[in-house]
This record gives sequence, C-alpha cells and structure tokens, in this order.
Amino acid sequence: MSSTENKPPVFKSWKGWYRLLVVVTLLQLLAYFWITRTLNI
Amino acid sequence: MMQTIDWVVMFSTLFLIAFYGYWKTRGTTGMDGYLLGNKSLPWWNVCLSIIATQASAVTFLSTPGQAYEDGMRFLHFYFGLPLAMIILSVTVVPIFTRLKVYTAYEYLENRFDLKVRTLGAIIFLLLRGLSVGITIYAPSLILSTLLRWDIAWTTLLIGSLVMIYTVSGGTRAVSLTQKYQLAIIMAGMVLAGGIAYSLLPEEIGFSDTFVLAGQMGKMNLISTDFNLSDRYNIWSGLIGGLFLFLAYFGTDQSQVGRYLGGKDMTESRLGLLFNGLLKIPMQFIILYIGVLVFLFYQFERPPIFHNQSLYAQARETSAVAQLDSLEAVLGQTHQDRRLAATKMLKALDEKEPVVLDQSRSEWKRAVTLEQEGRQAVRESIAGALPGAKTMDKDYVFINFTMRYLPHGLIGLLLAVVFLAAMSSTASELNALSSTTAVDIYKRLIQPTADESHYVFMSKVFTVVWTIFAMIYASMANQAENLIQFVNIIGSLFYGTLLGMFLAGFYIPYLKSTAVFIGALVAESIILYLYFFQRDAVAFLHYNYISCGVVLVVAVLYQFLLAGGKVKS
Repeated sequence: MSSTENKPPVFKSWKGWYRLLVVVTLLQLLAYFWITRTLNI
Repeated sequence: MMQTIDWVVMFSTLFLIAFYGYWKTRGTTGMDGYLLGNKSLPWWNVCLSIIATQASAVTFLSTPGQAYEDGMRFLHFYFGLPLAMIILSVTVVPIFTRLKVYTAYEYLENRFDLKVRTLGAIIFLLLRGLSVGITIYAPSLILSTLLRWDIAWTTLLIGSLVMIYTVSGGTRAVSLTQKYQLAIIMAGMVLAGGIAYSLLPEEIGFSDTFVLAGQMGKMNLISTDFNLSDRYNIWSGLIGGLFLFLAYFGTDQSQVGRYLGGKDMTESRLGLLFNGLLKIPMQFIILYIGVLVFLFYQFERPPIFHNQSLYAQARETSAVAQLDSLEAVLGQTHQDRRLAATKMLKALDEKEPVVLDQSRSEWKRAVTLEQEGRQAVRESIAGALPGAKTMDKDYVFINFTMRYLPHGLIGLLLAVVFLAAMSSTASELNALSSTTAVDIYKRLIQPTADESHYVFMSKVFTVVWTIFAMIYASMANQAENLIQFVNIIGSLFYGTLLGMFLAGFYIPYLKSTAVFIGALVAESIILYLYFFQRDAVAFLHYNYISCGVVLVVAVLYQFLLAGGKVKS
C-alpha cells in the first residue's frame, strides 16, 4: 500500500504522522521509565 | 446520599444526550446514511468515537480502583496500541475505503469467497453478541447497588436510552452522541480527581503527590522484567497488546464501523492516529485519579469495605459483632498509617533520608496490618452472606464520589457511568445490527430488495439485539460462570479473525478453502484448549496461537493439497 496516496494535513506525507506517533510514544515510555526509576520505591 | 439536585443533573444529562442523538439524526435515509453516517465525520469525531467505544463504564469504575490497589502498572496494557494504529492506517484503512464496504467482513468475500465472509461474520456475531449483555450488566450491577434499585431498572434505563437514538439515527447518531458523552465523562473524571487533590492536606503540592505516591510504591509505570506469567510488563504490553489491538481495531465491526464513518481516508486515518496519541495519556489520567484517591485515604479514614450496600447487609446478620471489632482494629491501623504518612511527608519536605526510611517502614507495617484486617472483613462478609462478591475494588472510586463530592456533582458522576455504558453499548448494537443486516440478511436471505427495506431491517435488528442484550444482562446475575466466560471471549475468537484478515492482506497466493480450513482448525484448537486444557495455556496467549494456526494451516493446505503457490 502506498502511504502517500492522499496528502495528510500538516506533514508532506503520512510518514510525518507515523514518525510523530512513534516519537511521542517513545518519549512517553522514557518519561514513565524515568518516573518509575526515580520516584517508585 | 443522592439529593434532588443529583437526580435532576443525572436524568437531565442522560435524556438530553439521548434526545439530541435522536433529534439530530431523525429521518436518516439510505444505507450509506444509516450504516456509514453518510461518511461525514471529521477526524476528531472519528477519534472521539473510537475512544468512547473502547472505554466502557467498567473502564471508568475499575481503572481508578485498579490504581488504588495495584498502582499505575495497568498502563502497560496500552503500549502496543500506537503501533497497531500505524499498521492499520497503512494497510487496513485504504483497503476498506477503496472497496467501499459497510462491514469489515465484506472484504473477506472480495478477497476470498462467500464462505470465508460468512464465517468471519458469524465469529463476530458470536463474540460481540455474547459480550454485549455484559457491557450493560456490569455497570447496571454497580449502579443498582448504589442507587438501591432493582438491577432490572438500571438495565432497562441504559438499554432503552441507547435504543432511542441508535435505532432512529444509526451510525451517525452513535458518533454524534459519543463526542458529547466522552466530553462529559472526561470532565466529570477530571473534576473528581481535582476534588480528591483539593481534599489532601494543604502542605501537599501537586508535584508532591507524585513523590509521595512513589514512596508508597504506586508509581510502578514500567517494568522491564520478562515474565510470561506476569500480565503487566513492557513486553506483554508491546507484543500482546499489539496483537490484541490489531484484532480489535482491525476486525471488530464495533470499531471498524467508527472509522468507516470518516469523511474520507485522511479523516479515518487521522482518527486512528490521534487515538494512538491520546489513549495512553488518557489512561494515565484515569489511573492517576485512583492514586489521588489512594493518597486521600492515607489521611482520611477509608471505609473498611467499599461496597457499602453489601456491608450494610452483612451488618444485619450475626457477623455484626465481628465487623464491629474489625472496625475498631482498622481504626487503630489507620491512625498508625496516617501518622507514618505524615512523618514521611515531613521527611520528604525536610530532605531527611534516615527519617524517611524509618517512616516508610512504619507505613509498610501499618499497610500490612490493614490488608490483613480488610481480608478478615471480606471473609466475615463472605461467611455472613454466602455467594456475595467480596471484591470491592470496582466500588472504591464511585464510593469516594458518593461520599466526598458536592451534591450536583454526585449526579454528574453517576451520569458519567451511565453515559460510558451507553456509548460502548451503542457501538456494539450498531455493529451487531449492521453485520446481521449486511452480511447475513442482505447477502444470504434477501439479496434483491431496495435500500429502504435494508434500512428498515437494520432498525429491526438493532431493536432485536437491544432486547437480547437487556434480557441477557438481567439473566447474567444468575450465571456467574457465564460472566467469567465472557471476560475471556475476545481471546477465544479474535486471533482466528485476525488470522483470516492477515492471510488476505499479506499472503496473496492463499485461496479461500485454505483460509476457511485454517480458521476452522484454529478455532477448534482454541476451544479444545479452553474446555479441556484450561490450565495448560493462559487465555491471553490464545490470541497469537490461533492467529498463527490459521496462517500455518492455510499455507500448508495450499502447498500440500491445493496446488501450491498459484496467485489468486
């Protein structure tokens, strides 16, 4: 399946949205990991 | 207890939403209008509709209770969801959009043949039909306990309110009402969380709540331990969650119907992707509300049993003397725990690590004693009322709202529980009726009627499924085993459905008979495992086992018995 057959808003292609979602999820995982390591006893 | 203002807020919220759904979509015509909402939804409404469908009443009742008992670790369950949203946006959404399907199972006929489509539709109807009654029953039970109504009335209220707008306006009514339902639900939850925070001792700032909760072991967000028997760790969340959410959002019509209603492919894809962006933070907020309630009860004495109605019944038996003495013991334990928590707070503030360690040990000792006391209360109630359900986790949050929220907001929070039940039930009934009308009635029984006939029959099927769900919910009380069965029903069927769709998407040379036989073999193995080898394999593993069996058996059949790699 081509991921650029209809242009998404904001980004030039759908890859922009997919990357954003992956980055946000990874950042959340890192933040939760940091909270667990530093705060949870 | 409820006052007039609470009843007014609760009933006016419920009736306004149902009436709005009916009014805005009255006179909906044509199959595109009734089953796809004329494909008119913007991405944000698709997203809200997807979230409202997944989040049932039990989500809002149980999740804070889960955090209260077990900390934030339930969040692991959702880590596979964003990746599933990307995979579905790339593969499934373009296929369904191009084929202009009303239901997901139409794709199976387009790719394979009628028998594979019919098998897919029947598996969905079994899976969803068996669980729709419980979507109504679980909140009905809790609400009937709180409001002291017979469960038949709470069931009837939820079922008939949903029927008013789902029958008249179909998919568009479901999606239009869900955006307001979700807005009220989240506003009510955040207000309740804010009030829990405002009731904490003055010296606790918001950032202090994270530190204090961490000291009490509640900030257990990420576990990297690999353990197959542990349901909540990063690996089960990412891998198990990915399979579960691929199956749920990709093959379950109650979700597929939501994004098929998007204006075009872009709106459907954005709806799914924003669901991936919002879901984990949303669950974090709901869980953290439970943590705030937990912190509140460190300084305020909690009830010794959160299901107050059941506790009152037990007090009317000979167990009252024992319960009185346990009340006294737990009162003393709470005093010790409160002192230790206050000491811990002061040590944190003054950065005194030695005092902090000492106070944490004292707190843990008091918590152990409290847990023993609460276990004794449960045993005492179970002895006094044989057959009573003594797990009170689901009542922690709603009982807190009933005791500590101002009047008016209590009514709003009860409306939140009803609305959450209505929003997921509406999607399920809409999906059951669409699948029955399109994949069974139109395809197999009456293929040549005009559109208005199929819209009429879709309405009839919605009424029939709603009545079925209400009767089922009323009878569920007498069949405890049935409820346990329904809790795992997704895992019994989702893997097979996912295997059928994956075979269609990714293995172009597989033909219909191979996939049909693969699906039958997979389902037989899973049902055998469930009924005869229940202890051998935990049910969460069924998802990928049956998905794998469908693919392996289909490929083997194609190569060994059906002429091999002939492109379809």
